[in-house]
Amino acid sequence: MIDFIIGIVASGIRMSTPSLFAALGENIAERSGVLNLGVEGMMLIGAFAGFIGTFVTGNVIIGILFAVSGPMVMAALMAFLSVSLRTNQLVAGLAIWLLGVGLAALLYRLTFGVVTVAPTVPTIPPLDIPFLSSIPVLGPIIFHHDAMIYLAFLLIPLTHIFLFKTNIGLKIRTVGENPKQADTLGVNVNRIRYMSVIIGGAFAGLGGSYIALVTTGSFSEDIAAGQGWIALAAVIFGRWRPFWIVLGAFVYGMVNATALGLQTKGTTIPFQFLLMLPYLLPIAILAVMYKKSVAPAALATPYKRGER
Amino acid sequence: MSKRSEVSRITGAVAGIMVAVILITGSSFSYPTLEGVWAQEEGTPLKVALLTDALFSDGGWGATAYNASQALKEKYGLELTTVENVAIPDIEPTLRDFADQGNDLIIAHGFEWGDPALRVGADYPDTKFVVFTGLTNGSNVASVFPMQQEGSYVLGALAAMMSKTGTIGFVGGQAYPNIVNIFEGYKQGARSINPDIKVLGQYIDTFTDPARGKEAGVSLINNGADFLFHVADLSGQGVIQAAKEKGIYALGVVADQHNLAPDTVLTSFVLDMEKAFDGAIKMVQNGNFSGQLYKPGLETAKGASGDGIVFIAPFHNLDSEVPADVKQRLNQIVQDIISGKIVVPERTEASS
Repeated sequence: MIDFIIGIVASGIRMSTPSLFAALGENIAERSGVLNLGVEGMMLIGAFAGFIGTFVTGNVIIGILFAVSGPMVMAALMAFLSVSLRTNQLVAGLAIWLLGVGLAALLYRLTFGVVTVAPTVPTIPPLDIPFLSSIPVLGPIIFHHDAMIYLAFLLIPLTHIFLFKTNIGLKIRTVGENPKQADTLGVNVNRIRYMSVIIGGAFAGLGGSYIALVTTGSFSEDIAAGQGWIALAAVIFGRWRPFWIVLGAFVYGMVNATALGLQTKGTTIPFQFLLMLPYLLPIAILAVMYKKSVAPAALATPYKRGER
Repeated sequence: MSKRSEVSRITGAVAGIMVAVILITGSSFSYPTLEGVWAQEEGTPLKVALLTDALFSDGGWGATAYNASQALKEKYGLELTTVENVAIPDIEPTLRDFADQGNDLIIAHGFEWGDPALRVGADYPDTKFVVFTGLTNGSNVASVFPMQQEGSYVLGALAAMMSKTGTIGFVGGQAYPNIVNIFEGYKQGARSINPDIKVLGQYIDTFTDPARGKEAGVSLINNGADFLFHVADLSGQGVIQAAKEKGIYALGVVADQHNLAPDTVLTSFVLDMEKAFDGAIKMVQNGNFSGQLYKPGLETAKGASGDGIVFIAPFHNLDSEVPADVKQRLNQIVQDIISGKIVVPERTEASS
């Protein structure tokens, strides 16, 4: 029984990692006042770029660099639309999502054509942390993972410190709360927003590449499978605080893993119901949490100097 | 707010959406092949459409159908149109569109096309419809429902003979009747060898999510399975990946998936779609189309005589890993199924 639970928790952590990366990045963008709904599209581009980079060069580090850069370009476009052109952020974000979906699929087809056997790259293997991985229960749950999960673990406190303990983090938050005031104090609102959105893109790229380079070792259209949307929900669930966002992403992964685990054990609950839970639960939680959530005051509001 | 900035905002948004829309439509209709090739003597080439909700880039179900249709286009000089990635609610309108365009034959690729084909078929008596893995038929609608349970029976027997843990697993994309049937065959085959074998199953509700497929596979392996069989298209690539990482064998489906993981995929059961589509085209060309439910079964290998379209792929580089007596027994099972000595009943409802 204990092995069964360890298996499920470890699986839950793996399944929540892509959306965790993306959510930590999206949080930075939203903290600066830009709601980027295009996370899913950026993750797909990240997955594709990471896969193709690794496939061509044979080097996974270069692959990850590709995975981070591709979505950064997409994010820059998002910033251009929403910060410079001041378009409606919901519309711009949806356009970025659709662009990512179409572009990733198109580029994959152009590269490989129609094949009966999908091209693959070796996946990043799990890496035991010496000593820690032999702790009973906790060891196999937390310290028997691949390097990218450890990176995700590391980024949780780092994004917290970045947002709440550094000068630049303070600027980002001020711009997201009251851009006019920030502007008066000499903070370049547009520059901060561009930067935050682009950082968000890089994180989404990490999330996307996790699926392609760790989980599957291959790319397929729609490989992000809604994780970008889960990331957006996790940010709201986490009330724009990194440590709570982790919980949001983890709840999703855990429910998903439990649904799969219970099916293996054989239950009388219909599998459709189990598979619905990962989506039902966040909705239920959001419905309860939303009243208490405190979004950045200037979220999704374009800023124009001199306007009242 | 000035008028100019309003205009630029709208322009920006519209431009963004347009680029996205162009890319989306561009990608889902990447391979239209509309130029007609004139057939030898008949005068006009046969107008055929292959429609599916799957992706042609899936490395299995969709890709095999696409390649089969391309080969037949060459062979018969067809005027061929192919459409992939049709959303489930759009199946009926899509069928109607292509019937309107005067296609002689529409190959609807997937179980879920069966009922819509019947409805649309009633309105377009001059168009013939063939539903691959469908279960419906009418005067101008035929279905090909391969006896895939015969192929999976052989795989189940193989897994049972080679399993060390006495537990084997499967992962399905959806609990569609054709897929339930495949797993029932797998179970029966395994139990024919070892009545006490544990067969664990998972349905993951998606054909396009390899990440979920992989975690489903890991969960089965954690519960003792040392053979993983999948019928989950793209999600199944994740299942094979799980087997690869844990060092156990996987069994492929639809196409010979050996190249996906050469040391992991022991064998696959393959559907010879080219043979099935070829048969449909011949019927239309010869004017003897009959709206039946065709149930082709097992054959010994690709291109074997007879009307079977299901066969078991070779072991490739893993040939030496399979003991001689296992191979012998497998061959016997294949022979017995083809000769009718073993009958694998069709079961479209899951049993325990």
